[in-house]
Amino acid sequence: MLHVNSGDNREALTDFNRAIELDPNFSEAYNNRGNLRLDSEDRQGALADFNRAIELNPSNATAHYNRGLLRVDFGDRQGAVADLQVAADLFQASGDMVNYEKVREDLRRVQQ
Amino acid sequence: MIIAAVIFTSSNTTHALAAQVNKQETITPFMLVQQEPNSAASYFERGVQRANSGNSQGAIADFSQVIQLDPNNALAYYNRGVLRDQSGNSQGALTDYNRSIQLDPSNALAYSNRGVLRDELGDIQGALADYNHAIQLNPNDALTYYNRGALRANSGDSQGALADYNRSIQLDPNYALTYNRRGNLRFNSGDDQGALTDYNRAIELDPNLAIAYYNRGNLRFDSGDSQGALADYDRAIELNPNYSSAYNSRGTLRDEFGDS
Repeated sequence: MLHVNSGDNREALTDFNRAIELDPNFSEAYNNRGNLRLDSEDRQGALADFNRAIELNPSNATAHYNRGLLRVDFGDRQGAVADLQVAADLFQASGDMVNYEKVREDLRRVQQ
Repeated sequence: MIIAAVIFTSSNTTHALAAQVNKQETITPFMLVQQEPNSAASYFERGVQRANSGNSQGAIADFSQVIQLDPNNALAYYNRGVLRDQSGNSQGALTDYNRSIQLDPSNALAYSNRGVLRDELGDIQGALADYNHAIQLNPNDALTYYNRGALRANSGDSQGALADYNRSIQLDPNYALTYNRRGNLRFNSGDDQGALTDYNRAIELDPNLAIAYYNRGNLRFDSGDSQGALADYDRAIELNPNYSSAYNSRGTLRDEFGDS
């Protein structure tokens, strides 16, 4: 699912916080909150959330992908490539070819 | 950015229907207790009564008495197994179901319930064997098809799961959870219309079934009906304020549509 738009979204943040409060091992909720934090320019907070999402579920392809792009922003190309590679592998393994192709494309761009 | 794909949470397999305590005989318990206050049959009757009135611990004690007085009473093991099962004592329940089956291999319910237990304990092959056997003994038990369908769906056998859900619905058209499950199956196979029909039916049958609202919300979200999805997530959370997946999905929806 492609992520479109949004600025300051307190209600969404409240929901993600609540989801995490209720289930502190909810990898997807950290990933989603990370995206939200990214939208509000909280890149450190976003990184922390993606890290946690991956720690809780190392097979979380979207979290690897999101952290990969964020690492590009941070100038960590090596880390970015590693994350995108893992994301591509995971999407491929799960048969999600649409996202697989998308990640491959980003990977090529980062590697150039 | 990619936002996490919509996640399904399935409700646990349930033993509610199969877990009915069986009555052994129909003699009036009052009479029986008067005549033979310490007989196995009188403890059995009282155990059933206590179970039905919610006194599980008392009922377990009664069935233990029956077992002491009549160690080959398969149904007493079965009933104690159900009660232990319901109170979270999985190992004790398993032992009781095993013994009950040993004493009476013709009780389909014991296989069916042991199947659920094995399923929960991660013994998928054992669970499947039990469901198969239960169905062999009684081909008309809707709940066993429901549980086997869930197991098959979880192990990737969509065709088998669909056949089981269809059969279960044929046998019991009023069990909301089966529609909910079949809805998930249909949704995952791209049959959105069929899935929506199933979720609607599940909600019609049980207007308090939070998981069906949650799943219908995911379907609506996926098909672009964000207002409908939001209403469903709201309702799911209203019914179950601790529904973490529903908060996560609603947050995703709000994030995507910028509902600040």
